[in-house]
Amino acid sequence: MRIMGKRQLGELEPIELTVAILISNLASQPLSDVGTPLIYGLVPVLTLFCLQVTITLISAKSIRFRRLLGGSPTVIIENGVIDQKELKANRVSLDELFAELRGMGYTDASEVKRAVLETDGSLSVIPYDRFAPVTPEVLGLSISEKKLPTAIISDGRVLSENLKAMGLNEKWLLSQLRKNGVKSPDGVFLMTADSERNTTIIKREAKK
Amino acid sequence: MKKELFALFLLIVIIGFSVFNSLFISAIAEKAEKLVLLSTNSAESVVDAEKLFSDNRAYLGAVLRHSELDAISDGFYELKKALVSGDGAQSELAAERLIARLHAMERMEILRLDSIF
Repeated sequence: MRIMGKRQLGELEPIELTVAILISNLASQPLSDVGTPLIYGLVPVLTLFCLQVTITLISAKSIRFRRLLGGSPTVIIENGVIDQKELKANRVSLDELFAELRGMGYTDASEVKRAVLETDGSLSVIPYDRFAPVTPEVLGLSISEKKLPTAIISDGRVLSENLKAMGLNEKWLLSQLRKNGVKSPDGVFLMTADSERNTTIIKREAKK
Repeated sequence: MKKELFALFLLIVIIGFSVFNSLFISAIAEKAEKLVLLSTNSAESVVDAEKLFSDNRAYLGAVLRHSELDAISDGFYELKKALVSGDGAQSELAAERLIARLHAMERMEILRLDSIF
């Protein structure tokens, strides 16, 4: 997988893709052949799982091991200039590079301060500030932080843990439902609440 | 860390089971081989060997390919047929073939360099 290079990997790290392919192949063998015991698939799959967990742990602790298995990220564009040597070394064509940039909203390499080809094959782009999306901070605006809503009813079911985590209780919940003309949680498709107890209720559609 | 400890524990269990499996199958194969060797003098020992094999068939069926076990069953049938026919040379040949199959069953589960490559 390392020899194949980053372009083959999509979004998975090399070890993850290898293990995924191996597991699917091993698991399918006893399923397709009645004469092969299930244990012939089960033991190798479990062994691979154990090895993958161990390798992940070692990778997390050791940079050298991580680089050996997954390689290193490569800078493809620096200060608006494409590194042709790295592009060739990673077997990425200009068409592919510009397709990725266009997908992120950049039409030219000169708009990009740095573009990194990650170990999982994806491209990370850091644009020059003048081409970056505008934020309220850039415009000198101060806005209040959005309160993150949490689901407390999902498809008619009360999510008690979330309710408890928000510091709310069922009594409050039922009172909110009554205020919105809903008799019970069963009649709710989705209900969310934020830290200021602002709620959003989507009622279930009536059955036709 | 729980996941890593679980993985380590599972790996130890798998290795332990593999060692046990290897030793258990070797023990069955060795006993059966000894009984089959005696079969040239006593037909009863073939019956004993076949009983030993069939008593453990359920376990063997869970850990070995069925085609291998079927080949051993065929071997017992061939040996019994040769003994009944009274053909000494044929009986010896059938016994040797059966022992080879039992030996192969035993060696299949042992981890060796040539089994890996």
